[in-house]
Amino acid sequence: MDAKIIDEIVQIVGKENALTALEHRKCYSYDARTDGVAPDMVVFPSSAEEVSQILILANRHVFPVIPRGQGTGLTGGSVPVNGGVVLVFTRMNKILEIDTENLIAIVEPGAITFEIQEEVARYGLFYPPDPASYKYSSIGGNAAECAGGPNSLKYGVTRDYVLGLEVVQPTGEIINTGVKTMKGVVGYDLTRLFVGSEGTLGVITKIILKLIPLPEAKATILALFREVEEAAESVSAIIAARIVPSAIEFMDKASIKCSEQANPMGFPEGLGGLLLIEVDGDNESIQSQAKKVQKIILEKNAVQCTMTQDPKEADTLWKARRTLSQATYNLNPVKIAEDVVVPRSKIPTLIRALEEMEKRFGIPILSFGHAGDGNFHVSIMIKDTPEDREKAEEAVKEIFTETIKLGGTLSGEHGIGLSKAAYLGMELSPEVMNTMKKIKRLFDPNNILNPGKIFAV
Amino acid sequence: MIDIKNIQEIKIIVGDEWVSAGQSVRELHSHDESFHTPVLPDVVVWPHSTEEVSNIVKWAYEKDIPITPWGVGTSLEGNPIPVRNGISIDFQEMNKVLAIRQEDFQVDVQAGVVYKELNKTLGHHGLLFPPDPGAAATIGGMIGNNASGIRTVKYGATKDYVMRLTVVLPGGDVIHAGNRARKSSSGYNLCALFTGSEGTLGIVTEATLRLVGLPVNFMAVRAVFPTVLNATNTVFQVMSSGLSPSAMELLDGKVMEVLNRDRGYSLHEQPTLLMEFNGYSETGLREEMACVEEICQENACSFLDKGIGASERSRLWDMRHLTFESIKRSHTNLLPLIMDVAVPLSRYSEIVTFAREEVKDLVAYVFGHAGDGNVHVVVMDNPEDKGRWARVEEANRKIVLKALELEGTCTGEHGVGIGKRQFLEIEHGESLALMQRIKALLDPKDLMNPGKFFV
Ligand SMILES: Cc1cc2nc3c(=O)[nH]c(=O)nc-3n(C[C@H](O)[C@H](O)[C@H](O)COP(=O)(O)OP(=O)(O)OC[C@H]3O[C@@H](n4cnc5c(N)ncnc54)[C@H](O)[C@@H]3O)c2cc1C
Ligand SMILES: Cc1cc2nc3c(=O)[nH]c(=O)nc-3n(C[C@H](O)[C@H](O)[C@H](O)COP(=O)(O)OP(=O)(O)OC[C@H]3O[C@@H](n4cnc5c(N)ncnc54)[C@H](O)[C@@H]3O)c2cc1C
Repeated sequence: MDAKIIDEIVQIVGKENALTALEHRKCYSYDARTDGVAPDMVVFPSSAEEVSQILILANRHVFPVIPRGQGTGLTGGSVPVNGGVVLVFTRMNKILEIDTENLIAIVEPGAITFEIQEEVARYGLFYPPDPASYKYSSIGGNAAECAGGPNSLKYGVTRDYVLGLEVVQPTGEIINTGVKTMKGVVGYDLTRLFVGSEGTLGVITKIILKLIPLPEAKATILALFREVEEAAESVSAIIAARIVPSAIEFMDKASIKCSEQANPMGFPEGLGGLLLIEVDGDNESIQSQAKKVQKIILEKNAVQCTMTQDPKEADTLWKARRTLSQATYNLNPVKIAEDVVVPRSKIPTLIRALEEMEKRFGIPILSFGHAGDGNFHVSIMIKDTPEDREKAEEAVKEIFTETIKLGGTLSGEHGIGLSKAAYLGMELSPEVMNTMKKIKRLFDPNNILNPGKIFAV
Repeated sequence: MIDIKNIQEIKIIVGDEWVSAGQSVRELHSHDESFHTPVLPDVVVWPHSTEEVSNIVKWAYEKDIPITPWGVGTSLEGNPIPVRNGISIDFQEMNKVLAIRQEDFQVDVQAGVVYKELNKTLGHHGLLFPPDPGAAATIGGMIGNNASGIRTVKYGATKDYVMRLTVVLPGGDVIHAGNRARKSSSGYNLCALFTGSEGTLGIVTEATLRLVGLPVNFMAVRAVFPTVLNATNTVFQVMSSGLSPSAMELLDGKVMEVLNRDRGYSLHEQPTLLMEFNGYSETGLREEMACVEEICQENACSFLDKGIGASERSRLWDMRHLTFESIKRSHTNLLPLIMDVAVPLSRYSEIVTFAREEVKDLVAYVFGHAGDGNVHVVVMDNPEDKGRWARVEEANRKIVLKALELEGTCTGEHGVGIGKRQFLEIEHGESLALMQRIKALLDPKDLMNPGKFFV
């Protein structure tokens, strides 16, 4: 990038809010899983107007602008592919308003998910979406990826809590979308178009969030099964019994084994599936809900079923699930992580297929995740060798093929970004891809905003 | 204009008996349930498949003939009126439930399925599609308008239940937007773009809908108040106390009068709230009820009927659903203008009070989905009487502007159609331009339900 342009941008945000030294820029060349290239500069804007000015310059001189929250993304969404300016929102991190009468919060994009949750909880309110990264991820990043978490089953994903947005369009215009009301149907639903668009259609500078009352009580149940089918049938039976748990997390055979090695919980041998179930609600109904869940689980031949309402004990029960992601690295140094979703009834088919692939390819393939949503994080653990990489590549293609065959989607919550762009065509028809590309071109005619993402070049 | 030769060509696509240019058929497809001026389509077609719809659209797009999809025409803003004539595509023949996937809580339907029929079928499987506008609406029309209903307060609007759509794009290409996974972050959310677009971006032929389990336990309440303000204050307090009613409807005293007269009820002719709670345990419900009762008492509730049984419950909801019908029947020589503003809940009392004051000199009824902050003001008058109608329009405008001032919206659920076009710019400012560009992008010839949304 031209030094003069860099200078102009420094003028916009102020010297103390721009980084140009290579060692600094390098820090913004990767996210939690994907490496890209260093940007030409990194800036920390403080307002929508500053963002707008930068985007106007970007159109004039045609350089890439890449929005970035906390860089915890898993698909390279915030990673530059050929230089440009990274916009980091750590300065725009305020909770502007909590409206306890209308159950609304207005926040800046850089606010940390967890901090929003903590703050609204002080008023007895609840912002449900809970990606595992919630302690670090930004709400802007959550909105851009349409993040979800364990309690999406009962409460939905980020999209369900975004009522409206302030967005700077790639061409610089600042617009407001959506409503502050519980419903509204005026015109096209731009809000839901921007949510999940991975920073490719506009830069989010303000978010109106819907809140709900904080549930009174919680109970946690851990269940162990010999066969994956028994676990899957339990999930269906629980939901068929009109119980909507706030979470149903699953771990497959390989995941249980891996976590047991890293963090022994004293589980019996030969397990084929684990479920971690959480129910919430008012004090009255929590016991009866939990009992009903236990009864169902035992009917489905669980070998063990533990229930607690004590937060400390619950933490212990969650331990296997929480530490798993890290423990996988004990198996092999490199992780290829997928985030597929299938309809609930197809869970056993998918898990059996993955078990079969693990055997056939001879590399560890672990799956765990949000079973109630049919959302599985599939971790393929490999050594950093060409043979292993090749095998993993094959496996990924097979996993996607199976997922699509079962009516599912390639990404439940992590987005497409850079790392899955090459595969999107497996899920979407050329006509759908074409429609999306047309929308991208309409919004961003010079392709300056987060180029190279979602659509493979 | 469509000529005889054109009609022959359409017949080749859909079959002889599924095309009509008969006067009465065209008249039927010329108006919805509002006062908006009827406009006749040149021809009505009843396709049977996505392929036929695609072929019709392809054919019409080449010939520059406007196309307007038609569910059953129960809209209230002129949404399905073919203002530039052309083809009205009626989905009556595409009314099949294609697959019920009980375990996944999903159903695949064709666009012409009437949601009430759908729920009858789903009920046998213990399932429910929650949005319920009350009228005999089709799924296609509900997706078109992103319809809501009395259960929206707990369950959300149609958009919250649309997982996957088969859409015929302008020009005739067919796409499948979305998928059957419960969540997805892959690519842009096209489903959201089509839902609520009133047929202006494409035509929905099939949908996969998310369902919920039929609730186990219910409790309904009818609470009567001396003043509307008492009632609206109750609404706010119930909603902000952490209770989660599955319905929360307001009916003013005049509505109750009409219902008694038209339906032979003998209900208190005073401001009334109808509430329903559903849930997992009866004890939980009883606790909620105690809470509700207390709030009602604090607001001078003069009569409270609770713990209403199943048959009484359905009578209450019938009554609510019949409200609009009863109002119309009581003024057969007049036509309705229906306002549909929504505001943040804390401003609900304010907007209702303002609206009632504004329509004092008119034949007007106030009711609505109070728990959503949504209020309907139905004014009955004669559009032919220019002077009087100007006054009706003025009231409409003032109430909408007030709602916007209160950080609300001009339409909570009925959509833009013809009636709300004038307010789009005020409400959206800059983003209106973006909407126009999206329209021009997908429908460059402006043939899909033209004349709606944008002035
Ligand atoms: C250990 C771990 C666990 C995780 N678990 C989950 C999980 O359970 N569920 C889940 O959904 N995700 C999970 N993630 C992924 C990640 O945390 C989420 O995608 C999160 O939403 C990213 O937030 P971020 O602030 O880090 O965004 P970044 O990674 O910085 O950016 C993500 C995307 O958002 C865009 N973006 C950021 N800010 C803006 C803005 N203001 N305007 C427009 N676009 C913007 C970026 O351009 C990029 O495309 C996990 C990640 C890690 C490391
Ligand atoms: C008594 C009464 C009560 C009502 N109560 C409510 C209420 O509580 N909440 C509420 O939201 N609405 C309510 N409505 C309005 C109306 O019923 C809804 O908007 C309903 O969704 C319209 O459905 P329909 O099948 O009649 O569609 P139509 O009126 O025929 O069409 C609606 C719109 O969708 C388009 N469309 C139709 N089919 C398709 C398709 N297949 N693909 C794409 N676009 C299509 C049409 O072109 C039109 O723009 C009420 C109406 C009445 C008469």
